[in-house]
Amino acid sequence: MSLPISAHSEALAKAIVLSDPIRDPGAFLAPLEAILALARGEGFGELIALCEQASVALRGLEPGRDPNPSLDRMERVVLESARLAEQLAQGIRPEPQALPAPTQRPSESKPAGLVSGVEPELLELFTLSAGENLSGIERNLLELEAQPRRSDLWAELRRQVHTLKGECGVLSLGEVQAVLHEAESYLDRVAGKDRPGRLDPFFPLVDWLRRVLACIKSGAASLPEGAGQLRGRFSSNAPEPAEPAHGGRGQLPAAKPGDGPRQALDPVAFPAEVLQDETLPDFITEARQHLESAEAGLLALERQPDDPEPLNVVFRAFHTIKGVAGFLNLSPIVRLAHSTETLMDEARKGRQLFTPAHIGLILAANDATSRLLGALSGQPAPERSEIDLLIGRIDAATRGEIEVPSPQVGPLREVLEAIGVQSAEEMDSAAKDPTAAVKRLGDILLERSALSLQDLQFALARQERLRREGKPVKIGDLLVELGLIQRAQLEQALSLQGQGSPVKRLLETPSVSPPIDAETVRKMRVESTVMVATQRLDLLVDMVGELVIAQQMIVQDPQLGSLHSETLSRNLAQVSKITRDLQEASMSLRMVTFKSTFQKMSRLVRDVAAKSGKDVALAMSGAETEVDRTVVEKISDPLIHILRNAIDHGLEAPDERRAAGKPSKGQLRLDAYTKSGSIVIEVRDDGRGIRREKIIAKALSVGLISETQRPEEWSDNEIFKLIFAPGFSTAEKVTDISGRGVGMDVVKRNVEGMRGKIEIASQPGVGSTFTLKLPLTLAIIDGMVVRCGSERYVLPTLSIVQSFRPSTETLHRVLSKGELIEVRGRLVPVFSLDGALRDQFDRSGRSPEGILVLIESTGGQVCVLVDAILGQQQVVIKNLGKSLPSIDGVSGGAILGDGRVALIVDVERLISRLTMAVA
Amino acid sequence: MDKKTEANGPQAGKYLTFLLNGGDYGVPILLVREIIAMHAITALPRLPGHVKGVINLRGRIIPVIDLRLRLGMPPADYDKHTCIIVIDASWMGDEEHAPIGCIVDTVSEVLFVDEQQIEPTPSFGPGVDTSIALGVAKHPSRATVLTLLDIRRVLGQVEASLQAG
Repeated sequence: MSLPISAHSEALAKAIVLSDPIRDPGAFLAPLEAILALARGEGFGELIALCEQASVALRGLEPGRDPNPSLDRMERVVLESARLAEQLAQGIRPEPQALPAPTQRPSESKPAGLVSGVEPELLELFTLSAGENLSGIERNLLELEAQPRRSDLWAELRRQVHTLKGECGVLSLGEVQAVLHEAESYLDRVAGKDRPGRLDPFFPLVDWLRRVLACIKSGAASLPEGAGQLRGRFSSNAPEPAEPAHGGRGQLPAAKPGDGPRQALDPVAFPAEVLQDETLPDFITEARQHLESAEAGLLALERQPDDPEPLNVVFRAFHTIKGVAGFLNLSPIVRLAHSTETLMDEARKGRQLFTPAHIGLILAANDATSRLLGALSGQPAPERSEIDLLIGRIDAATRGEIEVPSPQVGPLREVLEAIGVQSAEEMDSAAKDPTAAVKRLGDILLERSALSLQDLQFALARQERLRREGKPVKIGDLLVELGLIQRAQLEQALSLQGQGSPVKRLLETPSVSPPIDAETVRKMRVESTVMVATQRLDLLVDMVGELVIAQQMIVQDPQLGSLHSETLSRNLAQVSKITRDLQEASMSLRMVTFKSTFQKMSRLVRDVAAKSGKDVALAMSGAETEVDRTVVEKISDPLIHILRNAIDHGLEAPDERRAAGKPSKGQLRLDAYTKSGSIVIEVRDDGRGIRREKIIAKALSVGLISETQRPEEWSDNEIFKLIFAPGFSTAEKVTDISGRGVGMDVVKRNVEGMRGKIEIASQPGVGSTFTLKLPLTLAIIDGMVVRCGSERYVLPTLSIVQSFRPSTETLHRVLSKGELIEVRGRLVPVFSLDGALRDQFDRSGRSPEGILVLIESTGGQVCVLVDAILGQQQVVIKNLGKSLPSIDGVSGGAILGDGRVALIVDVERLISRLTMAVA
Repeated sequence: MDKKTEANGPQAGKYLTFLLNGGDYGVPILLVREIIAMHAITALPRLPGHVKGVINLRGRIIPVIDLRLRLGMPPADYDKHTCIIVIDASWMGDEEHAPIGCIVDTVSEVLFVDEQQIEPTPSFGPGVDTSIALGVAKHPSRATVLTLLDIRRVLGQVEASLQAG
């Protein structure tokens, strides 16, 4: 008798945890009915009543109604029926009891069934106590599932398991003990970690333990199967994050493979006809754009939680997604978007306070929606249970229940401690609602009699009203504004609040971010755009390029020139102008801004900082700088590496920073701007800087350089460049984030592949700056066309310092082979351009006819002799046919106006080659 | 006769025939992208002699080799008959590698060569490298024998020599 009720009770419990009563009422009704029938059979009045109530509530559920009251009722059914089941098992006639008080012992107990070799009293005690323990464990598990961060519950669970283990020992139930021991060890492992452990192995454990108890009571000779398997699950289960650590970013829990016995892997699926819908790709692209603007909004909210505009943006994003997804019958997306939209609605109407925990939750919703969109495009779909769980959390948040990442890291905790918030609960509530910390300001003022209680309440009410109107204001400022206190008093009170500065910093709006806010705002506006396939765009740009060349060939045709027709000249000039404009316009089509790259960086910094336990503020500027699409694509990876390195190795941990007298928040700056035809991107950190000696030491130790090269005499720049050598790393420990710093040589290669330069400047203890210089576009360069012999070459304008005619006085012959010229107070070697390219350095016999062009690169300066300068123009860089190897000194070809190819000189490589030869 | 059907053996089909130093040569027409007149060639420094440089082919820069020099024949001046055969060398990998120009004395015609007309390349003794030929063909319309050029090998070796150099 007891067994059936237990079984149904457990089935109901499972349904409560796993199923949605609106979507799948059957999962609940079936066990409910069964329990009800049994209860009626036994005459358990209380249970009957509860079942009926639950049943009514369940049947009354419709989509849109809150399922929680029904769930509550059903939970009571579970508890009561479980309790009754136990008592029945012991042969006790259960008395109706009020709920919830499952820990109450039944008043009398009669001797239960016998287990061989054990005294009846002992057995009785055992079954009672074990049964209770088990119910307690089950209750804890259910609560922990909803609130996995309750460390007190985890501790209790461990106690319960431990106790149960001990009791089993009394009965010499060795196998059961072993299983419980594994469970206990597991709980030990997860205790004290930031990430809560996994609950799923526990449920089958409880099931099994109940069966064990049942077996004991019924006098069975052997234990039910499954002990070994359970042990295995606990011992091999490393605690995996059900949620990530601090930062409250709330990624989705990983799909739990241990869900085997509970449910099969059940990914979200979409109906086939939806996947065929031709508007689907457009929907996906649009939805992604909305998600992007929502993400931007959420990041903006992190910095300025009071700003109402981002709240609206996020709300609208999910609202729109819900709408269109509804059109297309994409119900998983609709459900998720609906819950998110509801929460956002509450937030933007001021009925919910939007805290960092909320931001984390919505970011998780954002990610989940993105994954669902991915599933529409053929990528693996997330598990149904994951999505349901997330929806559950969002709905819970809407009801006001939200888990808060325990403020164990960083300044929040210090600040809270500083203002006297000590206990865990207070910290929790302060983290949920930081404005509560501010109210203490009012308390302080009250204490000091600077303020009367009525005035304070008035001000608080006013503050609340203002907040609802979307005009949040700090209580201190408000009090001063209302004339209730004076600013001096406010300052004093603030400083009393706890060492002034940490609190101020926490409560004040961060001042470092303005440059990006305008950006984020712009981003949040989904611009009116047309989407064009990039292939078409590239085709268009190529064709315009060819048009320009063809047009130039016509214009420069000597036969046309000999016609001497004014009208013809005029028309040709007109065509030239139009073509030039067309070219500019088409080039600008390829230009994009850094906006999305910077936003990616913003999110990356957040994540990396959280993972490495550092507190980082990222300030960015120049996101609106426009560059060619290819530059943006290729700069992303190097930037990620550099930023990761800066956070991981450059910036110190908060305590180290404080010890060094720096603010505990590390400052990271990312700036982009154009300068003399190049794009400059700077990454600056105020971390520990790069120490020469460390680099030299490391380079020596890995054999990169040798003592004989006298590295101590090298310039800082040369030393820092060693960082880019493959196989180099000064990381003291390998972190999984940036590895052994292997990124840096890849970074250098990527940057140089873009014909860019990368430089490092650093001061030990102060910080480092990584500077990336890139050409504005990868495809076009501004150059000077020169003639040397019968060939023409293009010298990039950026590399040219000056050009001039040599005079014999300033030209000196050295070693009867080389020539030097005196220019700008320095002696610079002279080569003929084509000779230099051909490795023919001997100019003996040639008089210095022609023009000297002084070119420079990081490797130095060199003068090249050319026959004539033909002009300056922008040329499109073309590859020289990939079947040819790269030639040192030539970076590509350019098609000039007459259709012939001129070689573009790679000044950097040429100079390094020449200086090698000379040296 | 079975050798003809080897994978590497010359296949029957259409061949573009051209002249090189008095000899007739042919390449499968399917590998020919286009035939163009001589262009002004921009020389590239520090490359083997048979790589003459690059030209502008409708906005795309492609390398050009002199087949005479490549095959070890004496160089000749370019005249109005000289042509460039643009070979589609996409067997080398990606489409990027594809076009390579080959300078020939002049281009003759497209001939259909069938199996009967193809014979394996005879040996001329150890001093002569005949690996560049897939076979020879005797076409009824021609007095001379057509050497079916293994253009993959010719260009492939070019590539290898460049990469090594």
